[in-house]
Amino acid sequence: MIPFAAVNLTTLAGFLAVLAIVAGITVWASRKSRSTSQFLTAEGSLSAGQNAWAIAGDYMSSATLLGGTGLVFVAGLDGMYLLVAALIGFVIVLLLIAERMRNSGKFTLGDILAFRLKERPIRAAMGFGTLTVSVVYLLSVIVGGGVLMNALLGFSFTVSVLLTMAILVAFVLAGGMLATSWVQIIKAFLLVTLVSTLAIWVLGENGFSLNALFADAAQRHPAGEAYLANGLLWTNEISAISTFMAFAFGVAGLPHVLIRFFTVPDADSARRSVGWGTIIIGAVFIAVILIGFGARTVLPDSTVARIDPAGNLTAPILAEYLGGGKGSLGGDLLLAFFGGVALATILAVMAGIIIASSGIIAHDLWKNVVRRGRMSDREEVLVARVGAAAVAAAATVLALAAGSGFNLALLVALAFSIAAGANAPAMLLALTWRRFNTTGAITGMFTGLVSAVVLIVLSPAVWPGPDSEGSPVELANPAILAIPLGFLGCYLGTVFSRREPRASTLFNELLVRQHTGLGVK
Amino acid sequence: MSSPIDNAEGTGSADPGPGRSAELRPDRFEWDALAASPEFLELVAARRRFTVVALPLWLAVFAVFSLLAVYADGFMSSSIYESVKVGWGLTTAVILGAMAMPWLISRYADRVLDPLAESVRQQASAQPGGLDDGSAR
Repeated sequence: MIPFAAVNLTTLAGFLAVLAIVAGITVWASRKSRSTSQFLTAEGSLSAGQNAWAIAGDYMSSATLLGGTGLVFVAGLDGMYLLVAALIGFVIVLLLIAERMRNSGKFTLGDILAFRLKERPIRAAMGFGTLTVSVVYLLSVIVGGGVLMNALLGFSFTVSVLLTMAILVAFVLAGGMLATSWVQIIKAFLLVTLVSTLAIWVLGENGFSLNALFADAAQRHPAGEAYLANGLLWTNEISAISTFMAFAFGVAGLPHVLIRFFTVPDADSARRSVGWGTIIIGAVFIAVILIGFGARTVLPDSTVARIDPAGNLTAPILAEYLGGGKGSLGGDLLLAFFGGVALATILAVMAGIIIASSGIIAHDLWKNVVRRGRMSDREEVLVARVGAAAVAAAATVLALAAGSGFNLALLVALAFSIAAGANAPAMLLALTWRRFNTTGAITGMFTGLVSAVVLIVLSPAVWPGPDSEGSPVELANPAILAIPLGFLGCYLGTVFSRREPRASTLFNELLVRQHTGLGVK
Repeated sequence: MSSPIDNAEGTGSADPGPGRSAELRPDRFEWDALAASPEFLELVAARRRFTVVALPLWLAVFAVFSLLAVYADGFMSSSIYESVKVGWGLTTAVILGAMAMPWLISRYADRVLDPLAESVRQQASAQPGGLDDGSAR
């Protein structure tokens, strides 16, 4: 196959417009991102409002735009529930972590644990855990990007992946966190514009009557009334609950979302940015649900047939159809706009994850574990940049090896469940439990990580072959076991090991810092 | 008891602590004294008063919603108004609730927590040079 055979020129123009904006921002930001703090956290210079859009941008990946609409389109009520679980996790983060992160951390999650636990082992362990989550999450975004560019532009999957990654690495290396944040902000804004337009449009097609929308959707779905009931997606109850838990508790262990709290000046800004961020995300979720049902009512059967079984292409096909259909100018233009927003979404989320990972490599692993904290700021930025490129390269190789056949929702749920099992228990206990110690934290992270990974490998999605019968574990998602095991590991590791010298004073320090923000510039 | 800064256990004298890098400790406050001060205890208690209500409540919302989503087919597919089902209504209600929660937290923090935190910070800066004189505890 010739990779450039069927490139859609109008859509390509939409992509290029987004790239031009991204390039402009990068050039502007590159003049500023010289120091480590500037490269990794934009020096806490974002306002609460800007950070809110950036948080929303970080959190809403192509899985929301493509997967969310697709799930509702395919499975109706069952498709919506995952979105709710994902939003619930945000409030848990706000209640327990957001402000404390801002008050006691600097660049990475490891910073917070390092205050009170033995620094080198804990940074190594937390660095390993967060890096694993990041690479798996990145893998899912890359595969999603490849699939989308393949569908919208006509490039082959391999060309799409290599092209996206090359653009991305250049942009992250030059622009750092400041450029990443602004791309997030613009992307979130475009995404809100896009989904609210589509949602209002499909509502209008149904005379602005919710009742008509749902009734028509059920009538046109093969399952009929069952489309407006539970059960089209979740056939195994425990698997369903486990997946909800992964999304609800995984946010508390997602490095690229949590480091967003380092880009604002103080705790009050951190709180308000989560507040506005949640409103933006919630509004998008409500719109995504309406788009999913609405697409059912609007799209004719011939068009529905072009949508893949997972429903991932529902939203772009809907946009094209509303614009006037395939081949029409309006359809091409709306599809181009959609493609541009989707590309911005993918680039922005990947950039956020890569920045988070490069921080972990430079700050946790290189500076504080390998070099024992004795290292110049220049070297740290250099290592951060090399680390960014290395993580991107590793994830690209994995994505190309995995190929486009990988199930996107599975990959994202996998990242969330590792985050929930390995990182979240240690984070929460380090902030709240006086007796907690290094052995406990490492035991907990290890049990959470290993149990999550082992259960995933043995689950129906992976073992003995893709989506096959007869796997040893029936759970589609490991969170329901991995989270308790993570906590249990933390607890047992702690009570069966000695108290650490000066543990109480160090905990007092972390306690005072996290509640008051003392010691943060 | 050893003091927060006198902690170079077996390492070089310029070392900020056991395996801890210098950048973590830009300020040397008397953490134990601060943690035991009435203002700080009040701050922690005030935060706890909020969390012990809000967190279980929110986790309960999550638990009830998950169980309904998985087991309560009849309830979720019953009608609010003809084709508008409880499942959709409840989903939207929880999303709206999640959008409101941060503002409740923010309001409480502005009114109660921030003034208390400010008074602890002032107390800390009133410590002689913020340095520990070894007489704590």
